[in-house]
Amino acid sequence: MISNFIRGFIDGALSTLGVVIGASSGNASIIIAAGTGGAVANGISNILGAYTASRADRYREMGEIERAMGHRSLRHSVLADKINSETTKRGIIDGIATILGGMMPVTPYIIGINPSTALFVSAGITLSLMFALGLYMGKVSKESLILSGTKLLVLGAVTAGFVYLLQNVVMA
Amino acid sequence: MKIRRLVLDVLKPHEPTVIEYADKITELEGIDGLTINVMEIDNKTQNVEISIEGSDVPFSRIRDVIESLGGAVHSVDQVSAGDYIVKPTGKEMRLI
Repeated sequence: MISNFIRGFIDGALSTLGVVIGASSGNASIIIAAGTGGAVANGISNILGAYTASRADRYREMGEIERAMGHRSLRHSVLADKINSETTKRGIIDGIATILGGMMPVTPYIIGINPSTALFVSAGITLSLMFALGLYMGKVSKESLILSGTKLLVLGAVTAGFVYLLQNVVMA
Repeated sequence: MKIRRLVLDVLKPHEPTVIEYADKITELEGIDGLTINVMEIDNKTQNVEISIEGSDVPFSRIRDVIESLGGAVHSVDQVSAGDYIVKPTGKEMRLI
């Protein structure tokens, strides 16, 4: 379940940071509307996406067990109940984490920070959270904390830089 | 007829575990104790021997519990019934 939270949070934070950067030439209310709308839509989409993908994967595994059991149906067994409950939880956690992560880049605009500096605060918050998530992932997987944190920080920075270039160079 | 002892050959997926099987089966009335031995482990399944003793072992309800957990009773390998458990002769079939 924690993997769904991390995946959703990264997805929400980075995709909304992209929306915020893309809309940064507009006024604060447009950025808030675009960012929040994007985060919520992405979250709802990820609830369904994570649920469907996880369910399909678990049902494929159950099909393999059914074949090993001599084609005995497990659709009404505890295993099927477990799969349904687990995949629903995964979908909800993924979606909520997406919305939560997605709200981070919009927060500086919501709390009324000056729009000229809000973009940098937004990028700073998002990249700091990416680094913190990287540290946590490093701790869980017993890897180097700094290396793991830096990996996610670079991933976030590259994404932000790419969108910034797209907005200010290609689309200018 | 009151069944006092029952030995079942059961094929089950790895999940739920034998501990969950033991937990659910011992919730039934008429059972004093059980032992589950894992006889064979395959890639996706386990073959287990479930030995159950009690004052009135409810076979059909045990089978329902096993099936609800995704297992299948392959065979009843031993049954003891009556006022006391008669000791086996030692000539019973050995499954390899």
